[in-house]
Amino acid sequence: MKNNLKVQRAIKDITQADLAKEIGVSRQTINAMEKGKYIPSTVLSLKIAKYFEKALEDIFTLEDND
Amino acid sequence: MKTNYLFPNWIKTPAFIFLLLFIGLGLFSNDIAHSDILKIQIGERLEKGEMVPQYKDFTDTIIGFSVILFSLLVAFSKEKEEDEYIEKIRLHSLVWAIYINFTALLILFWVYYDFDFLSVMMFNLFTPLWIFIILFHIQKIKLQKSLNHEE
Repeated sequence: MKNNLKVQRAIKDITQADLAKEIGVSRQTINAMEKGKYIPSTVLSLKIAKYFEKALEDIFTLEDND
Repeated sequence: MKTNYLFPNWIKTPAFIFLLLFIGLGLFSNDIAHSDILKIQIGERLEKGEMVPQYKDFTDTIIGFSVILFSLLVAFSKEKEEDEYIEKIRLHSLVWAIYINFTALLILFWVYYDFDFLSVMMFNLFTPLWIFIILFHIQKIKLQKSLNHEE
């Protein structure tokens, strides 16, 4: 699964640290997700989508090997 | 992220200090045992018509107990920032620690025999927890480094 978290953050002009605070995870977690090293849980994905006021599919998309 | 099977974060540092202290004491356990500080009477036994007091040295008992207790507390206390990613890293480290520990044991079965194997077993009481603690902390340092790299 890939995501465009970095783009969404840029649009909203918010840092990794601020986003981390907003959704209650560590900065390392946001960083790992942006790098594609970590696939968030459903709960965390929904929290992120809710924060950016987007549909889940606008931020997260399946890859061919998923 | 609510996890109810972990100890609170404040325990980690004091537990680590006590762990090092008891590992240190463990290195001198023979000296402590010889000094009879922890020799305690545990009962009496009838020998040749006389009641003879029976003693037991509790050095190894106390050191072994403390090392395992404090290893557990260090290994399974919460991080400052507890979330699902750190949980994943914890699980990952735990699986690898078990793999490494028991792969080593599989090999050691064929290297040491009889009484020599007893010392292997003794170390093996502690190594699963210690390998886990080391792996988990390496992962955490790596994570922090990748973050610093970003800045």
